[in-house]
Amino acid sequence: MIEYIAGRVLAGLVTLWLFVTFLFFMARWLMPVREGFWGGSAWDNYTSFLSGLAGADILRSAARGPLPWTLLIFVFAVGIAFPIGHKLGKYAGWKRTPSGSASLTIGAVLMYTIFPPLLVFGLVMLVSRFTNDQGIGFLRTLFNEGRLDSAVAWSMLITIALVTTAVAAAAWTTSRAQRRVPVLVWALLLVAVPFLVWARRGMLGEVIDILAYLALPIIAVTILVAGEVILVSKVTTEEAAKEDFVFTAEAKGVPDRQVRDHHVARYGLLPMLNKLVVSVPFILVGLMIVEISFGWGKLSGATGEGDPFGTFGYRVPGLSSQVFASLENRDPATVMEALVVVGVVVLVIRLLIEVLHAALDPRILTPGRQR
Amino acid sequence: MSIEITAGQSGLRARRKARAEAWGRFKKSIPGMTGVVLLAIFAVMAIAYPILIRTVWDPDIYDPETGIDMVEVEKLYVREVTDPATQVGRVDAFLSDMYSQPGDIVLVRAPAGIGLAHPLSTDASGRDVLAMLLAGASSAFVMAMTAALTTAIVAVSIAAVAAYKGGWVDTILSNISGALLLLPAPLLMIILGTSPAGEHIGPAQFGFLFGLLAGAGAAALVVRSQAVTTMQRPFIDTARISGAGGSRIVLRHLVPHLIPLAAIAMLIGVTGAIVADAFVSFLAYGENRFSWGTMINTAITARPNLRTLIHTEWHVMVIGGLAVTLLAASFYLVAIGLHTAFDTPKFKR
Repeated sequence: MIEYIAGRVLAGLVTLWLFVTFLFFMARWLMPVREGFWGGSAWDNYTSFLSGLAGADILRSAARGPLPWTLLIFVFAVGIAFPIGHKLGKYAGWKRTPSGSASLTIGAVLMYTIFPPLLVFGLVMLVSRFTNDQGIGFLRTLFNEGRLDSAVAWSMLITIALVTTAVAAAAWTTSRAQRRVPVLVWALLLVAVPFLVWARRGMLGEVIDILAYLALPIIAVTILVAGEVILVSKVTTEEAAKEDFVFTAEAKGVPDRQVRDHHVARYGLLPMLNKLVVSVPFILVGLMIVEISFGWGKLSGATGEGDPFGTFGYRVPGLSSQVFASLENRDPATVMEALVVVGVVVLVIRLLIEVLHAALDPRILTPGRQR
Repeated sequence: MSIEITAGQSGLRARRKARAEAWGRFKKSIPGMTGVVLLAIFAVMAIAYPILIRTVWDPDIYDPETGIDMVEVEKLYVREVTDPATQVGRVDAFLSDMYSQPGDIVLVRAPAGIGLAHPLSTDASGRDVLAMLLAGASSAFVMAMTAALTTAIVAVSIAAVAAYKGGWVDTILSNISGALLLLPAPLLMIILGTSPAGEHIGPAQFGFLFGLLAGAGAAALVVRSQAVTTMQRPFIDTARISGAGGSRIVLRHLVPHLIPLAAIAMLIGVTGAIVADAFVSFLAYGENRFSWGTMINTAITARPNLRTLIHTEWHVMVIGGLAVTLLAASFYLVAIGLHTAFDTPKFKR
């Protein structure tokens, strides 16, 4: 297992180096810069860029600034979208779902391809209608009063990670001991324990402020991700339904629903993880587009009065704002830094999924004996 | 000789039969057919605009950028506008009559509303929404088609070369694809489009660049794994033993097996291109041309106040946004139909 993880980390570092080199070429010859920005030969620029990255200052400054907000939106959106999308995809992919399978598929495609500004506009419109035009202003006061602390955001992320690991370990132990505990119990624990921890540490108020502020982007990204998860889950269900053991189960007269839920859907989880590894960067791009759409107006100078909150009166303090602010300022170094952070985040998430996959399916650890 | 001819003919017949069966399965897939119908509607829209503007539509009214249809309406001059349909504020009232007082009824030029002449109404500056919708279709369509073809060609060539050569060529190519995957094509295109270089990127160039990036990234990885398994199948060895050269093996034996998967990968990739292209113009960057993104942008910028935007101008936002969404969705739906069509069941029950 350790060998496998080390191998994946090494491969990840190679990918990261290629990626950084590619970014450098793009910035050096494609992005416009201020006069005399680069100076020196391309090789000098490249080596100084690489040595600057090796210091990891970029990651540290991102961690203090925009990174935790983007990660929080990602974690909550995926955490909500994955179970729902998996359930719905199971119905969409099952061959004997009586009707509605096609409309579910079309609905999922629409969720996945919806133009993010339209989604954002719809959400803002709903909030304004239901709160009599007060809701967005309330969120804005949360931001202005400095109720969003990135230290709290980090401790939220760490709590979620620890609780998830603990629950997963507990679930694994009980299943080893042949004790059946309903999935619902684990799900409840996963939701309730973090809040208990936060309440005990006396930061529940701050956590709720942060969640209220990020609720809109979380909902928007959840919709995008759920569409993708439904489509992936549909395909894996269709693939899994072709396996021999499904045929056997049906021949033995196992009820249709049981075959779908216990034989097909569970078997489909692993290939689904495999496919979602590829989707992670696309989910992040969707997230960044949503972030920009919420803050729209500032970027294009539409409001003109220098309002940092844009047309919708709202902004997400995430990674994308940094990328686009520096594009405006003709500062490719900062753009590259932000993109390197995106790349590192994608690599880390990918590594986590791969380790999870290896833990669930040890066949991966013995190369050459894969199916 | 005669044996060879019959073999060739039966091969041709088998291929034709397989194709007919695949089309039969595609026709049964509701998502796939929905996608085809939507694509057809968009194609008609793209063709309809140049015809309409040359024959029926008066360019002074229906040109998406300069055409304006304003009518004069009576409105009440008030200090604080609460109902934009019947009231105007200071600036608009002064434009009509600079000596008017609050409480007066003034004649104001207002956009012509919904009616026979404007089936989808007009935006705040009096431009016909249907004309803008049709005018934006062609550039989006050109962009999507270029992106689709480039993605497929790049992905298939990289995958075929990687699988045929193997070894270090394969390692280098798949590592490059993996690195490109860290920064997906939509984000790169948004960054390129919003940089000043974006002013020179037209729809076809946008699609081409997107296809290069997406084809070398995610699509190449997907097609490559299919190419590697195809290379291990017996007929490749048979071809090699009977003396076929490298280009013949790749073009005649390997590539045909990659095309269905490449088509699916390209159609799914195009959805990203459409959203990225519309997003760049929505942010008011990119080449100065009319598109659905510009349509939404100008409609919103005309009403910078969120309240009036929500209450009067929402239809332009929703119509433009839906057009982008549905065009992207139609490509994805066709991809799902193709997936069903080429997905041969393991057991024929």
